Amino acid sequence: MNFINRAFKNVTRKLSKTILLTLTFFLIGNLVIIGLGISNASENAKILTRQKMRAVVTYRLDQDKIWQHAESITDEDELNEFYRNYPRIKLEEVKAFLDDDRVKTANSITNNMWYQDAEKTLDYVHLGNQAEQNIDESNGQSCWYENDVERCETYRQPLFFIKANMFPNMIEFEDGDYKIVDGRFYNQDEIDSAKLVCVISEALANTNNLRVGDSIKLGIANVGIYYQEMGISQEDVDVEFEVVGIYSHHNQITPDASNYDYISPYENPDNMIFMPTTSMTLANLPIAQKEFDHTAQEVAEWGDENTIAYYSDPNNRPSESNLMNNVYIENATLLLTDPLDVDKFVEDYKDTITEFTILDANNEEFNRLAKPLDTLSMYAGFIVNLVVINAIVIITLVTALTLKTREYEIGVLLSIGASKLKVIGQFFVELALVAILGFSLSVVSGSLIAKQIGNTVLEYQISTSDVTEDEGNHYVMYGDYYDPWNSDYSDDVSLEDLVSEYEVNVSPAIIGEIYALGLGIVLISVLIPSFMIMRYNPKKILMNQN
Amino acid sequence: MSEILKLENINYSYIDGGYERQILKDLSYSFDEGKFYTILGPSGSGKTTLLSIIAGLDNAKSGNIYFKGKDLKEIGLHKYRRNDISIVFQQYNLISYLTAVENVMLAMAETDNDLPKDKKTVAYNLLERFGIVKTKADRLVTQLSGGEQQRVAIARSLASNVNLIFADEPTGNLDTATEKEIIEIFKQLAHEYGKTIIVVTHSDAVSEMSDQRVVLKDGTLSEM
Repeated sequence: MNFINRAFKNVTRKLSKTILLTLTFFLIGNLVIIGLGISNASENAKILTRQKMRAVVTYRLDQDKIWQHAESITDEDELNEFYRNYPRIKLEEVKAFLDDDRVKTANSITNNMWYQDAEKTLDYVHLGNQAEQNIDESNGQSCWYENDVERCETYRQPLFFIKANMFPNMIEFEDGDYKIVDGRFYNQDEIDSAKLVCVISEALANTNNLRVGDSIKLGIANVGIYYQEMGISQEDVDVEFEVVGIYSHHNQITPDASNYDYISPYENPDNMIFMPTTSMTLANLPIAQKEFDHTAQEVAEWGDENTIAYYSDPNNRPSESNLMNNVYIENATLLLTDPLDVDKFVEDYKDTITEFTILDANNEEFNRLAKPLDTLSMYAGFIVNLVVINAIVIITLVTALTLKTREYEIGVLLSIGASKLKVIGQFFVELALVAILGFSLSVVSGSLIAKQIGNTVLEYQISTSDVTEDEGNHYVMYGDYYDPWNSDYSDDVSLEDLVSEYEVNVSPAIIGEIYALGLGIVLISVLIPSFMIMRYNPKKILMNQN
Repeated sequence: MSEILKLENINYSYIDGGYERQILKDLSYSFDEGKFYTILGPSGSGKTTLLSIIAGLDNAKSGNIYFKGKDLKEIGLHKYRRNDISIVFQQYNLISYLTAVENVMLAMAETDNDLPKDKKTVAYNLLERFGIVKTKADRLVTQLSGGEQQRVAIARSLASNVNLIFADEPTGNLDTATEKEIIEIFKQLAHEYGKTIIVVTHSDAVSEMSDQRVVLKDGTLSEM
């Protein structure tokens, strides 16, 4: 007859006490289940919605901070110095992020619109819409008189959209929206060596009968008067690229698109060409050098000492050797493997990133919309805590009062040599058995009640909160309107998305939590009575009865 | 007969109303194995205090108690109560939510003494020896008469296979006929099973049937 056996017999044979305590635990259990159910549903809704969102963190300059800092500078020279050394996103820092296991890849995109070469060797993929007819009409020469001299320049419409990246695995390809169907994507070596390579669409390849390994020639600028004055010729802007890969994508534009007639060729995703940012910069090198030389000549006439010195220094002239210094990164979008890591990732790095930069979890709208759920979760958690504290107080009191009526039993057990710890153990097991019974019953009823109450409370919470969806904050990357310029990779979220994921369920995790909580309540409730038992003296109990 | 319990210069006092009250004063006495002792004395003479000290429920202020030649301080009171002695109370002190047989098994669960494996059968046999048949042994103790409950208490005291049994007014709540039965059981335990029985009582009937009557007076024990 060990103490567990004794506890079992006490529970099964002292039925009125057992029923009362079971009822107490049953009521506590119901309240806890409702609280935990609502709290978990709120948290789950947030997690599930977050999981559906793309796990992106944007690393960019903190313009607000830069502005505030500039405003705080009163000395003009100091201010000029600050602007001369304007904060920049550092490539090394982005590369360091990529070393973090949580980061899958990064986009640091530079967009551009490019042209056909002089001989028009590369045809674009035609939609046959109104915008394309306008191109044919508007291409040509545009002339005007300047100081009674007629001046003309060739005017052309850009036809190709260039998406250049500093990293070989782009988010679009990681996500599966784009897929290499032949060849490969450009690699890190090609980025580092600024090799003139590109990846074109399947449709563009078919239109021009191109294969992997072929070359395409693109006009990287329109040689207008301004360029001509600088001595930039058509040969300078026509650049040849090797096709290393061909991709397919899911962004087909159909005639039922709302803006179909106004889609320019470069807005057609089939005319998008991927290449390394370094290659784009290298292609621009002849232009950049001639621009530099031209400016150097001009500043020699009217520039101040510092400017003349700058343009006189050959190290500042764009060249292949200082190409990487001239690659400018505006921002970087990091794609993480798990959307749930986003907040933690930002938290981990926020104090170590370069000054005047920011890691943006892109979750402002999400957090704003999730406010009713947060409030609900907070109140539910508050109820759970309150119930648990009350339960501990009630059960402690009941146990302590019960001790008085069981004094002689404790005396007998001590007189026959039972240890005080075993006596405490018996009380713990008795309460634990009753708690398990009460909580088990409450799991059945609580799951039914929690669902009903949870939904009602959420409806009330939403109706009384002032959360509305911010219509102006919706960025559409893919869909009816395709915007090639868009570099916002974060997903939209709506209140409906969140609410649709809100489901009060008493999951096995909650059930486990309830039993753990119940045992915790029992353990704490037995503590004070345990101190009383430890002070019991069998002589005083047994000898004073006679 | 060999000595089982030896008391040596036991003193016990407590503060009552600001004055120290000496209950036991340099008390020395030896109890032998296989004898039935009764301790007599007027109310307030300290009989119950003496019993609680020799039964390991309390400590004397000074002096030594030796069980089979070993000092209780060495054995430890808790271990002494668990393995060497058992106590029978006037109020029986059975556990109400357990059956008679379970109450008997209670003591068997706590002792370190060697006991047969089938404890339940041993408990039934013990109870049967004291007139509690199986049907009654399976009843909750609250459903038994006073005499039956005291028999269960005695059976429990024997269950842990100890040689020294203390009893505090064990027949105080019983009628004369039952009192006689219980005393017979004590005698039987002492004489047939070699147990030492030490009973604190007011009852002349009980003391007259004991092997040795000892009187507690002025804090010391003397034989009658």
